[in-house]
Amino acid sequence: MDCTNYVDDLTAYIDGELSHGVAERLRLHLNGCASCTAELRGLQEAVVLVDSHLRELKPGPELWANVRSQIAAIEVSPRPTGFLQLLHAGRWLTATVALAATLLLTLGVREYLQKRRSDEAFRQYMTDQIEIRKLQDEMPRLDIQLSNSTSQGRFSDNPFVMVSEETTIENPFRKKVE
Amino acid sequence: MVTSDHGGASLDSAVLVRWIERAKRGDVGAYQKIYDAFVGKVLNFIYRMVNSVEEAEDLTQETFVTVYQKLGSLRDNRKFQPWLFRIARNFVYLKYRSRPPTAISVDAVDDEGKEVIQLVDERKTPDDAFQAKELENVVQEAISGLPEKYREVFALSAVQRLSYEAIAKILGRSLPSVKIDIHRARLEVRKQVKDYLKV
Repeated sequence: MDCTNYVDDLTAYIDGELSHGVAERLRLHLNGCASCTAELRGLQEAVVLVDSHLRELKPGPELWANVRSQIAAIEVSPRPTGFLQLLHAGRWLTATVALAATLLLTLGVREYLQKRRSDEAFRQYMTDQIEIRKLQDEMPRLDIQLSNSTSQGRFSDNPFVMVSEETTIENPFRKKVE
Repeated sequence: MVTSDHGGASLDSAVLVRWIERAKRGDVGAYQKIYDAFVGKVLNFIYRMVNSVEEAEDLTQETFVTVYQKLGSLRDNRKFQPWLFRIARNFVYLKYRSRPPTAISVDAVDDEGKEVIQLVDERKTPDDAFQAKELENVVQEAISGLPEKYREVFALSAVQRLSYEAIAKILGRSLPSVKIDIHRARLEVRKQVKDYLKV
């Protein structure tokens, strides 16, 4: 019979430290194994022997007196309780500070980017305005001749279209009607 | 609700938490109650480790002074016991890291200046008290003779009756490794005692 898996559990079995399933398996094994049963009995006897012959020291009154005199010199600052205790707990404080720093940084970056976009847009607007002004200044110097007397065509009101007679070109493929 | 020790008297954890809260605010009376509840356990744990009554008392005193000083840093009051034993253990290792355990010499005197009983075939005519005293020495010697890592788990389990889970937390080790070491420590102590009793 292979007792290897059971022998190491005997002490824990005596101490009541095995789980229910493991204890049950060990109990079944012990029912059929004289060697392990003898080992268990030997361990139990040793426990009883040690328990009944263990030198137990009793602390004398001078021990507390010495402790008392030393702790009298120690100043204990009362710790806050409840919600304040959370704030005073080091790790909560660190977490709070880190979170606040992150939020501030995020807001700061966002503000910076928005301002930059806004500045860019303003610069572009000003550039466009300058261009428009330049064009407006240059327009009176353009030499646009309008043909108002002979051809009051559909472009006669449009100062950007130049109409002249010279643009009429005879179509060589048209049959002349005589 | 009681604290999770297997065997032995248990302190109601709600009561302990109240005492700790008051002690944190500087209530020395509350701290004395905590001291009274745990001093025996700490003293005997340290004694198993250092095998000297005087040194055990000194280290116990240092432990409780430090605990009072650092009590404010304990965030979860329900974890007071493992925290307390970790401090006690640290003091033991700070002082005795490189020192081998002191075995009881047959010619030594104990702390009261009395000669240690010689362990030489006294079984023939002892009375019960005499034999009991002798066995105490044998048991103590068997514990002191354990390798360091077996000695501390033995002291915490067989002597202090702490649960394996509590011991694992105090020592910062896994439950399976604590379980196996407790078993080996018991086997070793049993072997020492059996050799003496010739059982």
